[in-house]
Amino acid sequence: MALVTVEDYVREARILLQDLLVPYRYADTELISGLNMGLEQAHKLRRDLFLKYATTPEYPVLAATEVDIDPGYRRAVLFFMVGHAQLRDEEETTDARASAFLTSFAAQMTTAV
Amino acid sequence: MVESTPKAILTRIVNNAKIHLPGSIEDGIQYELYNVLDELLSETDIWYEDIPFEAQPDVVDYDVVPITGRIVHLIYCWPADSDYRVHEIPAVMPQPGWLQLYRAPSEIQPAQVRVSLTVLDPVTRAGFPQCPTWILERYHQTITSGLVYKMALMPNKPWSNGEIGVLYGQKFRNSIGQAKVDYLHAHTRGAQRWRFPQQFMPMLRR
Repeated sequence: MALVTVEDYVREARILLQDLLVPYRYADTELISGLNMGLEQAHKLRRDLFLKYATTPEYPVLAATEVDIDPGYRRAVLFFMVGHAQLRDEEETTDARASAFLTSFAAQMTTAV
Repeated sequence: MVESTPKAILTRIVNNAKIHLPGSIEDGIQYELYNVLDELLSETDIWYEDIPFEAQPDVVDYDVVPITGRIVHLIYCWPADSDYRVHEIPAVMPQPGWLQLYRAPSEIQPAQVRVSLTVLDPVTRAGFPQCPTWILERYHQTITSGLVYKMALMPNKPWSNGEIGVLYGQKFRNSIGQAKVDYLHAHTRGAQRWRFPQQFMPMLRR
């Protein structure tokens, strides 16, 4: 399914985090926080993605609100969300995955990958 | 026959640039479009407007306001009942829009001033700068080259490419030179390239 709304981002993040059963390992608020931080990082790396905004747009609640970013860069923001969530854990496998997702985010934002 | 509109031509230009710039987004290209058009128009004087005014006795300063666009250079000032190639009123433009005659006329004299123009902020609602359609049609490849050149030389972007930037920069600069020649020859093939030595001209030329 397409990545359009905040709910879409949280749903897709849970798939990559293998966190589909209630009670969730990662709270909605944590993932939404990751989304907003991802947008801030995207704003830092790619000001052109947010030319119509004076500051980074923010999405504080889990809702069907559209996340306003070019479709070509939605997957990168999703990867940041997942990487940021996995930074919380203290296991070797999640550290490596977190690093891979965050590196991929930066690469997608700044290189033609 | 389907008539081209500025928006349709600009959309084509932006799409052309997007093909050359993988990962670029429309907002960013539209933003750079203003800079490209400004550089093209400011350096070539291809967009100009003749503005009539009435020269008054004892008055040497006048405000010149074009219908649209921003003034770049004063090109000519001449009596309205004559031709700029025959009679010229000596004048300067200390600031764009401020016309200053060397001497005030002794009586009221209808006159015309030709000024070159460039794009003006703000842009249209569609996000495009306003520019005459013929310039967009005639110079669409030049504008595309300018966009690719400026975008490709941006640092740390998916479409950054120094070699492509330099190549398209050369194409853009060459096209600007050609556009300047087009203007000087009034877009006439084989027009006189030889120019009368300027120090022997009977009137001032800029």
